[in-house]
Amino acid sequence: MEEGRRRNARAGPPMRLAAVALLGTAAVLSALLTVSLRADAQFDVVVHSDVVLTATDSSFIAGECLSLNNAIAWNASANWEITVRSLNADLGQSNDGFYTKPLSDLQWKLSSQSSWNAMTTSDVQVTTGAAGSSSFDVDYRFLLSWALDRPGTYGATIQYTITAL
Amino acid sequence: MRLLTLLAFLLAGCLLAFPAYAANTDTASIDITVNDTYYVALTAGADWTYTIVEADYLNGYAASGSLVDVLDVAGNAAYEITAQMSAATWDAGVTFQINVESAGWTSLTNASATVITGLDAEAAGNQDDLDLEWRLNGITWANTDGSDDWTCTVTLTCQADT
Repeated sequence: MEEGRRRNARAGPPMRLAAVALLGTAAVLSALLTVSLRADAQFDVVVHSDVVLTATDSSFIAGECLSLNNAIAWNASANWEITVRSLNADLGQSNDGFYTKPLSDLQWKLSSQSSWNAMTTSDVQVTTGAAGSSSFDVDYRFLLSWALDRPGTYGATIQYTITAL
Repeated sequence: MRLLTLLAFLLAGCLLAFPAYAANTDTASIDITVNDTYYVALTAGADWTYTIVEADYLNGYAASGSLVDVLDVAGNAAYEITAQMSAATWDAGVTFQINVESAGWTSLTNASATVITGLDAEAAGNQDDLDLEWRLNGITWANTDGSDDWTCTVTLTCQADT
Protein backbone atom coordinates (compact mmCIF):
# COMPACT_ATOMS: atom_id res chain seq x y z
CA MET A 1 0.00 0.00 0.00
CA GLU A 2 2.76 2.38 1.04
CA GLU A 3 4.66 1.33 -2.05
CA GLY A 4 1.62 2.11 -4.15
CA ARG A 5 1.35 5.63 -2.63
CA ARG A 6 4.97 6.22 -3.40
CA ARG A 7 4.40 5.13 -6.95
CA ASN A 8 1.41 7.41 -7.20
CA ALA A 9 3.43 10.19 -5.65
CA ARG A 10 6.12 9.66 -8.21
CA ALA A 11 3.52 9.63 -10.93
CA GLY A 12 1.95 12.85 -9.59
CA PRO A 13 3.98 15.59 -11.31
CA PRO A 14 3.57 14.23 -14.84
CA MET A 15 -0.17 14.01 -14.33
CA ARG A 16 -0.36 17.62 -13.12
CA LEU A 17 1.65 18.75 -16.09
CA ALA A 18 -0.68 16.87 -18.35
CA ALA A 19 -3.62 18.55 -16.65
CA VAL A 20 -2.05 22.00 -17.05
CA ALA A 21 -1.27 21.22 -20.66
CA LEU A 22 -4.85 20.14 -21.19
CA LEU A 23 -6.11 23.25 -19.44
CA GLY A 24 -3.82 25.33 -21.63
CA THR A 25 -5.12 23.65 -24.75
CA ALA A 26 -8.66 24.23 -23.61
CA ALA A 27 -7.87 27.88 -22.95
CA VAL A 28 -6.30 28.23 -26.33
CA LEU A 29 -9.27 26.65 -27.99
CA SER A 30 -11.53 28.89 -25.98
CA ALA A 31 -9.63 31.97 -27.06
CA LEU A 32 -9.74 30.95 -30.68
CA LEU A 33 -13.44 30.28 -30.37
CA THR A 34 -13.95 33.75 -28.90
CA VAL A 35 -12.13 35.33 -31.83
CA SER A 36 -14.32 33.48 -34.24
CA LEU A 37 -17.52 34.55 -32.56
CA ARG A 38 -16.52 38.19 -32.21
CA ALA A 39 -15.46 38.78 -35.76
CA ASP A 40 -14.76 42.43 -36.46
CA ALA A 41 -17.36 44.53 -38.19
CA GLN A 42 -16.52 44.83 -41.85
CA PHE A 43 -16.79 47.98 -43.93
CA ASP A 44 -16.04 48.57 -47.53
CA VAL A 45 -16.51 51.49 -49.85
CA VAL A 46 -15.91 51.51 -53.60
CA VAL A 47 -15.75 54.90 -55.27
CA HIS A 48 -16.71 55.58 -58.86
CA SER A 49 -14.06 55.83 -61.52
CA ASP A 50 -12.13 59.03 -62.10
CA VAL A 51 -14.09 62.00 -63.37
CA VAL A 52 -12.65 63.94 -66.30
CA LEU A 53 -14.40 67.08 -67.50
CA THR A 54 -13.66 69.69 -70.12
CA ALA A 55 -14.84 73.25 -69.77
CA THR A 56 -16.51 74.80 -72.75
CA ASP A 57 -17.81 78.25 -73.47
CA SER A 58 -21.21 76.97 -72.36
CA SER A 59 -19.65 75.97 -69.06
CA PHE A 60 -18.34 79.48 -68.57
CA ILE A 61 -21.68 80.98 -69.45
CA ALA A 62 -23.31 78.72 -66.86
CA GLY A 63 -20.49 79.40 -64.42
CA GLU A 64 -20.11 75.72 -63.69
CA CYS A 65 -19.25 72.34 -65.12
CA LEU A 66 -21.15 69.37 -63.73
CA SER A 67 -20.61 65.66 -63.29
CA LEU A 68 -23.77 64.00 -62.08
CA ASN A 69 -24.77 60.65 -60.60
CA ASN A 70 -21.41 59.17 -59.71
CA ALA A 71 -22.10 55.93 -57.84
CA ILE A 72 -20.44 55.06 -54.56
CA ALA A 73 -21.02 51.48 -53.42
CA TRP A 74 -20.75 50.40 -49.81
CA ASN A 75 -21.26 47.36 -47.65
CA ALA A 76 -21.08 47.19 -43.91
CA SER A 77 -21.83 44.76 -41.12
CA ALA A 78 -22.69 47.53 -38.66
CA ASN A 79 -24.02 51.07 -38.66
CA TRP A 80 -21.74 53.28 -40.69
CA GLU A 81 -20.96 56.74 -41.95
CA ILE A 82 -19.14 57.82 -45.06
CA THR A 83 -17.05 60.96 -45.12
CA VAL A 84 -15.35 62.76 -47.98
CA ARG A 85 -12.32 64.98 -48.18
CA SER A 86 -9.75 66.16 -50.65
CA LEU A 87 -6.21 64.95 -50.45
CA ASN A 88 -5.10 68.16 -52.13
CA ALA A 89 -5.16 71.63 -50.64
CA ASP A 90 -6.07 73.28 -53.94
CA LEU A 91 -7.04 72.35 -57.48
CA GLY A 92 -3.68 73.11 -59.00
CA GLN A 93 -2.18 75.82 -61.14
CA SER A 94 -2.92 77.11 -64.59
CA ASN A 95 -0.61 76.18 -67.40
CA ASP A 96 1.16 79.51 -67.15
CA GLY A 97 1.50 79.16 -63.38
CA PHE A 98 -0.13 82.50 -62.69
CA TYR A 99 -3.33 81.19 -61.20
CA THR A 100 -4.08 78.62 -58.51
CA LYS A 101 -7.66 77.41 -58.53
CA PRO A 102 -8.98 77.16 -54.97
CA LEU A 103 -10.28 73.89 -53.63
CA SER A 104 -13.57 75.58 -52.80
CA ASP A 105 -14.27 75.78 -56.55
CA LEU A 106 -14.93 72.04 -56.38
CA GLN A 107 -18.26 71.25 -54.81
CA TRP A 108 -20.16 68.06 -54.11
CA LYS A 109 -23.59 66.94 -53.03
CA LEU A 110 -25.69 63.86 -52.80
CA SER A 111 -27.56 63.57 -56.07
CA SER A 112 -30.76 63.31 -54.08
CA GLN A 113 -30.17 66.69 -52.48
CA SER A 114 -30.12 70.20 -53.82
CA SER A 115 -27.56 72.14 -51.83
CA TRP A 116 -23.88 72.02 -52.72
CA ASN A 117 -20.99 71.65 -50.31
CA ALA A 118 -17.54 73.04 -50.87
CA MET A 119 -14.85 70.39 -50.88
CA THR A 120 -12.42 70.62 -47.97
CA THR A 121 -9.35 68.78 -46.77
CA SER A 122 -11.21 67.75 -43.61
CA ASP A 123 -13.54 64.79 -43.50
CA VAL A 124 -17.15 65.86 -43.92
CA GLN A 125 -20.00 63.43 -43.42
CA VAL A 126 -21.70 62.50 -46.65
CA THR A 127 -24.32 60.11 -45.38
CA THR A 128 -24.97 57.37 -42.83
CA GLY A 129 -26.76 54.06 -42.81
CA ALA A 130 -27.38 50.71 -41.18
CA ALA A 131 -25.70 47.42 -41.92
CA GLY A 132 -26.20 46.12 -45.39
CA SER A 133 -24.96 46.93 -48.81
CA SER A 134 -26.09 49.36 -51.47
CA SER A 135 -24.91 52.50 -53.22
CA PHE A 136 -25.70 56.16 -53.54
CA ASP A 137 -24.91 58.83 -56.12
CA VAL A 138 -22.98 62.03 -55.73
CA ASP A 139 -22.69 65.05 -57.99
CA TYR A 140 -19.68 67.27 -58.50
CA ARG A 141 -19.34 70.70 -59.97
CA PHE A 142 -16.46 72.98 -60.73
CA LEU A 143 -17.21 76.65 -60.39
CA LEU A 144 -15.87 78.60 -63.36
CA SER A 145 -15.07 82.25 -63.70
CA TRP A 146 -14.53 84.27 -66.82
CA ALA A 147 -12.35 86.60 -64.86
CA LEU A 148 -10.13 84.10 -63.04
CA ASP A 149 -9.83 80.77 -64.80
CA ARG A 150 -6.98 80.42 -67.23
CA PRO A 151 -6.09 77.49 -69.46
CA GLY A 152 -4.97 74.47 -67.48
CA THR A 153 -6.03 71.21 -65.93
CA TYR A 154 -7.36 71.50 -62.43
CA GLY A 155 -8.47 68.81 -60.04
CA ALA A 156 -8.03 66.92 -56.81
CA THR A 157 -7.98 63.41 -55.48
CA ILE A 158 -11.09 62.82 -53.43
CA GLN A 159 -11.10 60.25 -50.66
CA TYR A 160 -14.19 58.59 -49.27
CA THR A 161 -13.94 56.84 -45.93
CA ILE A 162 -16.45 54.45 -44.38
CA THR A 163 -16.30 53.91 -40.63
CA ALA A 164 -18.48 52.52 -37.88
CA LEU A 165 -20.82 54.86 -36.15
CA MET B 1 6.10 28.87 -20.15
CA ARG B 2 2.68 27.43 -20.71
CA LEU B 3 1.25 30.12 -18.48
CA LEU B 4 2.88 32.78 -20.62
CA THR B 5 1.59 31.06 -23.73
CA LEU B 6 -1.87 30.98 -22.25
CA LEU B 7 -1.70 34.66 -21.31
CA ALA B 8 -0.47 35.50 -24.78
CA PHE B 9 -3.37 33.69 -26.39
CA LEU B 10 -5.85 35.30 -24.02
CA LEU B 11 -4.38 38.72 -24.73
CA ALA B 12 -4.51 38.07 -28.43
CA GLY B 13 -8.08 36.91 -28.02
CA CYS B 14 -9.00 40.08 -26.17
CA LEU B 15 -7.34 42.26 -28.77
CA LEU B 16 -9.07 40.49 -31.59
CA ALA B 17 -12.37 40.34 -29.75
CA PHE B 18 -12.42 44.09 -29.04
CA PRO B 19 -10.67 45.62 -31.99
CA ALA B 20 -10.83 49.23 -33.01
CA TYR B 21 -13.21 49.49 -35.97
CA ALA B 22 -11.09 49.74 -39.06
CA ALA B 23 -11.93 52.36 -41.66
CA ASN B 24 -11.98 51.57 -45.32
CA THR B 25 -11.16 54.16 -47.92
CA ASP B 26 -11.23 54.58 -51.65
CA THR B 27 -10.32 57.48 -53.87
CA ALA B 28 -11.09 59.00 -57.25
CA SER B 29 -9.65 61.98 -59.01
CA ILE B 30 -11.94 64.77 -60.20
CA ASP B 31 -10.37 66.83 -62.97
CA ILE B 32 -11.41 69.57 -65.32
CA THR B 33 -9.51 70.91 -68.27
CA VAL B 34 -9.77 74.48 -69.38
CA ASN B 35 -8.40 74.30 -72.87
CA ASP B 36 -5.84 76.69 -74.17
CA THR B 37 -8.59 78.48 -75.95
CA TYR B 38 -10.01 81.91 -75.70
CA TYR B 39 -13.62 81.68 -74.74
CA VAL B 40 -16.13 84.27 -75.64
CA ALA B 41 -19.83 84.29 -75.22
CA LEU B 42 -22.48 86.36 -76.80
CA THR B 43 -25.87 86.71 -75.31
CA ALA B 44 -28.44 87.93 -77.74
CA GLY B 45 -30.77 90.66 -76.76
CA ALA B 46 -34.50 90.53 -77.02
CA ASP B 47 -36.16 90.38 -80.40
CA TRP B 48 -36.80 93.68 -82.05
CA THR B 49 -40.23 94.62 -83.16
CA TYR B 50 -40.54 97.90 -84.96
CA THR B 51 -43.37 99.66 -86.62
CA ILE B 52 -42.49 101.97 -89.44
CA VAL B 53 -43.91 105.38 -88.93
CA GLU B 54 -44.38 108.41 -91.10
CA ALA B 55 -41.11 109.92 -90.00
CA ASP B 56 -39.28 106.89 -91.38
CA TYR B 57 -40.78 107.55 -94.77
CA LEU B 58 -39.63 111.10 -94.53
CA ASN B 59 -36.13 110.02 -93.51
CA GLY B 60 -36.00 107.22 -96.03
CA TYR B 61 -34.98 104.66 -93.44
CA ALA B 62 -36.07 103.00 -90.22
CA ALA B 63 -33.52 102.47 -87.49
CA SER B 64 -33.16 101.18 -84.00
CA GLY B 65 -30.42 99.97 -81.73
CA SER B 66 -29.79 97.83 -78.77
CA LEU B 67 -27.01 96.38 -76.69
CA VAL B 68 -25.82 92.83 -76.87
CA ASP B 69 -23.69 91.53 -74.04
CA VAL B 70 -20.38 90.01 -74.93
CA LEU B 71 -18.29 88.16 -72.41
CA ASP B 72 -14.62 87.56 -72.85
CA VAL B 73 -12.26 85.35 -70.93
CA ALA B 74 -8.76 83.97 -70.73
CA GLY B 75 -6.39 86.56 -71.88
CA ASN B 76 -6.31 89.60 -74.06
CA ALA B 77 -8.39 88.38 -76.92
CA ALA B 78 -9.77 90.41 -79.72
CA TYR B 79 -12.93 88.93 -81.05
CA GLU B 80 -14.65 89.03 -84.32
CA ILE B 81 -18.31 89.28 -84.98
CA THR B 82 -19.87 87.34 -87.77
CA ALA B 83 -23.25 88.53 -88.84
CA GLN B 84 -25.52 86.55 -91.09
CA MET B 85 -29.02 87.42 -92.13
CA SER B 86 -31.64 84.87 -92.90
CA ALA B 87 -33.87 85.18 -95.91
CA ALA B 88 -35.77 88.35 -95.39
CA THR B 89 -39.11 89.39 -96.70
CA TRP B 90 -38.55 93.05 -97.41
CA ASP B 91 -39.92 94.53 -100.48
CA ALA B 92 -37.67 95.19 -103.41
CA GLY B 93 -35.58 98.26 -102.88
CA VAL B 94 -35.39 97.85 -99.12
CA THR B 95 -31.98 96.95 -97.72
CA PHE B 96 -30.79 96.03 -94.27
CA GLN B 97 -27.68 97.24 -92.50
CA ILE B 98 -26.15 96.81 -89.10
CA ASN B 99 -23.64 98.90 -87.24
CA VAL B 100 -21.57 97.13 -84.63
CA GLU B 101 -19.74 99.25 -82.09
CA SER B 102 -20.23 102.28 -84.32
CA ALA B 103 -17.67 100.83 -86.71
CA GLY B 104 -19.78 101.76 -89.67
CA TRP B 105 -22.84 100.52 -91.46
CA THR B 106 -22.52 97.11 -93.11
CA SER B 107 -25.08 95.81 -95.54
CA LEU B 108 -26.44 92.34 -95.03
CA THR B 109 -27.99 90.45 -97.84
CA ASN B 110 -29.98 87.29 -97.80
CA ALA B 111 -28.07 84.24 -96.65
CA SER B 112 -24.68 85.93 -96.86
CA ALA B 113 -22.32 86.31 -93.99
CA THR B 114 -20.48 89.44 -93.19
CA VAL B 115 -17.49 89.14 -90.91
CA ILE B 116 -16.74 92.14 -88.84
CA THR B 117 -13.37 91.82 -87.13
CA GLY B 118 -11.28 93.69 -84.62
CA LEU B 119 -14.12 95.45 -82.98
CA ASP B 120 -12.68 95.42 -79.53
CA ALA B 121 -10.05 93.87 -77.29
CA GLU B 122 -10.83 92.97 -73.77
CA ALA B 123 -8.66 91.95 -70.87
CA ALA B 124 -9.37 88.59 -69.30
CA GLY B 125 -12.70 88.51 -67.65
CA ASN B 126 -13.89 91.85 -68.90
CA GLN B 127 -17.48 92.07 -69.91
CA ASP B 128 -18.29 94.34 -72.75
CA ASP B 129 -21.63 95.59 -73.94
CA LEU B 130 -21.71 95.28 -77.67
CA ASP B 131 -23.46 98.21 -79.21
CA LEU B 132 -25.48 97.04 -82.16
CA GLU B 133 -27.80 99.08 -84.33
CA TRP B 134 -29.79 98.14 -87.40
CA ARG B 135 -31.22 100.19 -90.19
CA LEU B 136 -33.66 99.54 -92.96
CA ASN B 137 -32.96 101.68 -95.98
CA GLY B 138 -35.22 102.37 -98.84
CA ILE B 139 -38.30 103.17 -96.84
CA THR B 140 -40.02 105.23 -99.45
CA TRP B 141 -43.57 105.88 -100.38
CA ALA B 142 -43.03 103.89 -103.52
CA ASN B 143 -41.34 100.84 -101.99
CA THR B 144 -43.84 100.07 -99.28
CA ASP B 145 -47.55 99.92 -99.50
CA GLY B 146 -48.33 100.18 -95.80
CA SER B 147 -49.51 96.64 -95.33
CA ASP B 148 -46.21 94.78 -95.13
CA ASP B 149 -45.09 92.66 -92.19
CA TRP B 150 -41.38 92.05 -92.67
CA THR B 151 -39.27 89.65 -90.67
CA CYS B 152 -35.70 88.47 -90.73
CA THR B 153 -33.28 86.88 -88.34
CA VAL B 154 -29.74 88.11 -87.96
CA THR B 155 -27.35 85.60 -86.44
CA LEU B 156 -24.37 87.07 -84.67
CA THR B 157 -21.45 84.84 -83.88
CA CYS B 158 -18.76 85.97 -81.54
CA GLN B 159 -15.44 84.21 -81.84
CA ALA B 160 -12.14 84.91 -80.18
CA ASP B 161 -9.66 86.24 -82.67
CA THR B 162 -6.44 84.78 -81.36
